[in-house]
Amino acid sequence: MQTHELTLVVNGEERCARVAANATLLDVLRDHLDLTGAKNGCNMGECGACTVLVDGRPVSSCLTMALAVEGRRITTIEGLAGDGRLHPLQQAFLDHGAVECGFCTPGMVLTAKALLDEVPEPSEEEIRVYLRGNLCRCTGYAKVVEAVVAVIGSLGEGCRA
Amino acid sequence: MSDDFTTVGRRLPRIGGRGKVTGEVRYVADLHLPGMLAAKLLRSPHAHADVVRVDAAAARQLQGVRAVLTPADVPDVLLQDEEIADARALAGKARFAGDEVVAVAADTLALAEQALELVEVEYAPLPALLTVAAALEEGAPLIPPPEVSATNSLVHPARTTRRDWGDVDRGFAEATRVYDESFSFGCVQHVPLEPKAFVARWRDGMLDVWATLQRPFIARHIVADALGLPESSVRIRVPYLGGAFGSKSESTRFVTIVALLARLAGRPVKLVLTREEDMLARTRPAHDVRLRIGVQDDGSFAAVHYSLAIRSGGYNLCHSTSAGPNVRTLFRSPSCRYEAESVYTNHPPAGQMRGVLDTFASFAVATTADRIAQDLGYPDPFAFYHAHHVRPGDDCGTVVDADGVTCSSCGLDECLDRAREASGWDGLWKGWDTPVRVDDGRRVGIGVSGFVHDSGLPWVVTGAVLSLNMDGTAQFLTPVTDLGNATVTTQTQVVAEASGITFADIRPVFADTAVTPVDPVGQVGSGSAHVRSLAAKQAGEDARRQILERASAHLGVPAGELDLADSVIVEKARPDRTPLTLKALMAETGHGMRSVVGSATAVCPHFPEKAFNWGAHVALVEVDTDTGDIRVLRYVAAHDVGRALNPAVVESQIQGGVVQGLGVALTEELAFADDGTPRNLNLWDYKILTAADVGDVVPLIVETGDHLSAYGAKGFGEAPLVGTPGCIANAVRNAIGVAFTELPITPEKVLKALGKLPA
Repeated sequence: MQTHELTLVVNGEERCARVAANATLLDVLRDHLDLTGAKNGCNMGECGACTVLVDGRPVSSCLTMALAVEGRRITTIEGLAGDGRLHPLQQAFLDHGAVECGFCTPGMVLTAKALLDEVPEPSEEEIRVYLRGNLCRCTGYAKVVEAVVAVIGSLGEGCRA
Repeated sequence: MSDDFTTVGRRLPRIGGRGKVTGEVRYVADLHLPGMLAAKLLRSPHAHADVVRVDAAAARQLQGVRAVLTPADVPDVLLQDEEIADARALAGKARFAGDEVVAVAADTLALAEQALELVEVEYAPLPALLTVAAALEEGAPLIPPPEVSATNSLVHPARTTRRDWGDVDRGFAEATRVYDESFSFGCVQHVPLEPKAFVARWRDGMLDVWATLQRPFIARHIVADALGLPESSVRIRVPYLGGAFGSKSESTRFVTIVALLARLAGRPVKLVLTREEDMLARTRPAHDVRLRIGVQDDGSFAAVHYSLAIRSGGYNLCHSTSAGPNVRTLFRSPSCRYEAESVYTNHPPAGQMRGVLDTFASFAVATTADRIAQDLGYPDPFAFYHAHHVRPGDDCGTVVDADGVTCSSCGLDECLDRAREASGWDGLWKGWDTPVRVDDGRRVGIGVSGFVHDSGLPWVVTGAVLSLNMDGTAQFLTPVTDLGNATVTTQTQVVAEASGITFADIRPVFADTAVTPVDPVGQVGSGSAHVRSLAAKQAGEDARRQILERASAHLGVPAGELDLADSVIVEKARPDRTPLTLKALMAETGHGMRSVVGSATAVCPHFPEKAFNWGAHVALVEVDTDTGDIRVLRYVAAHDVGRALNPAVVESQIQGGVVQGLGVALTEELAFADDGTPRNLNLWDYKILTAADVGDVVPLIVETGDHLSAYGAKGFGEAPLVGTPGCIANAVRNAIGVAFTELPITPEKVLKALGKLPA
């Protein structure tokens, strides 16, 4: 397999890797950059555990070809907390018991962030619809929705991507 | 309940939570060791076939391929245990479509996949046996090896079961009405978000394994035996698990394969299952049920007969005994017969899943009880449950219990009352066969289920150690794994409460077979909050006693006059005296004193009394009679958990379990083609529910304070799923007058029942 030099801006830092032409963004994050927060739950874009933000928009990194996002701005869960302080969504997930096994959590938090960046005051219905691509088998979603609701209005501009 | 606890009963944040929201926590698939190889398995396309010939020469020659294993390379590895399995590490005969035949380890996953394409396997297909009748037919080919079983019936005493309590025949003869119902349940899958993953490394003759297992000790026992090693030379560590629900109960074949590959290659090996492979590796089996209930005119039971026939799949992993509690422990009956036949079929291996087969026993009993209550003129289902459920002191043991076992506590009445009130039942219920409302094609119905489930199994034994450090902090060594349900957190709350050491000062070390006490059976049967809490509590109390002895010698005050709470020692009679912190005690007494190590072992209390957990659910559903869609409008779930060790965790267990149960009720079923090939091994076609599919589930916690357990806590993690499908079916019956006897209740089945589609 032919390999290519790839440059991405991951969590604000320029990162380079030599990757196979068919490598997905998820492969690159996990295998080349040791960013294992994005999970491989199904490898077909159905579970949402691999969700990362590309230029602020949530994508299934398992379905995104790495070379197609050359030079783009990638946000992974590892890039969300700043200076040892959790992002308000991360804190709310902890405070509201929205984390159980935690395998869906990185994708869920990033999707919720994208929602709040797009729609600052979503209804509960909007939250549920927006999160439907992120499967969770532990919580039944109630506390996840609670956590997102709790953050509404508290996100200052500084927290936006 | 009294609330004079410092740690138990508090909504403490879960241990590991911060690492989970930052992505720092490493699950097994996230581990990387220097020189590590990637493994991949070649699987049989046939549901039933002899493997005639395997030619892996070309694969072995591919550059970057470091180890190849075929069935001929692992002739002696028979994974067998009286509780679990009969499998060789690789299948010389395919027993389901997807059975593992060849394993390779290579420098990269892509190379491993390429190597498998070079392997030639010649199969001699056999008829795929996909029903109980086909498997038991005279002359049917044998699925297991002849040395394991001479028939396709699982004749193991723990699996093919018949047990009678009282005189069942007389009971039916004396009954004034007999209900005789048949049910059919499809095959479902756990779908934890994390697929199974395994890492193995050999060093100095020791095997190191990191694995997604909820029963690491039994896995070590079997794998060590298979590899001819002492258990002390096999170390299995289980980091945080991304959910399990029973799917990570038995994975000894995978552990053995990665261990053999790593030994052959002389390098660490990682195997991560794909979603498709993970769904194949373990399922809850399809089974057919016949339930007969004989009742008297007042509705009391005279006899119950529950019989089930289980399609257990190609490997012997399913406990036919596990439909227990809702058959005999829910309603009083002077006689009962439990009869189960578990049969090898050419389906993927069936095993345990949250609620095991009791989910379906609950469905059968709760839907039949609903009809009995109606037929006998009860005003509503609540009245029937209140009148006839088992009470503490009743002889009500299940098929796994000794004769004469009684129930130690029962909070069903309170669960029913609270669920009734919180759901607004009295303002909604219009009577039997009368929907709550009808709005064009939409009919709204309401229903109830009452149920009971295990709080630990009789054979669960465990241990715990609390070891104090020189600065007053401590390590808590516990065999439990962190499945996702915060067991490590709640166990640490228990040991903190009992020891008097501050929760935050205790560092749990969990699920490491080289470090923690042995826990042979592992996490099955909702045992942790009950049995493992007993060990944690006693280990904590043991450490506390030793700390107070040390303080007594230091202060010159008798130990009995001292108290320790939140890592502070006070003199009970002189609370004004400056308290001594544990840290100060350790500093002031120096390092020459005897170490503080609290330890305990515990056995599940199971005779003459045994703890069960109880619950009552109410569902309000809307059935669209044009599309067949069922929408859940309101769901209230009350659970008697004895005592909530951490209410936030209990609520989440309830909400998550109910949503899983809604999937079993409405959408989830693994489908197979006529040749036994699975048809929907992915999350597009096997539908688990999303945030948009469900609304809020209202969790209600009932605390009865069971006297057999630590702080009154009972295990209950499986129960929220157990009670859900029956509740939904009863609500649907109230809406459209149809009593469904098959799960899931899909739109297609609804429309057929309404005559809008041909049956």
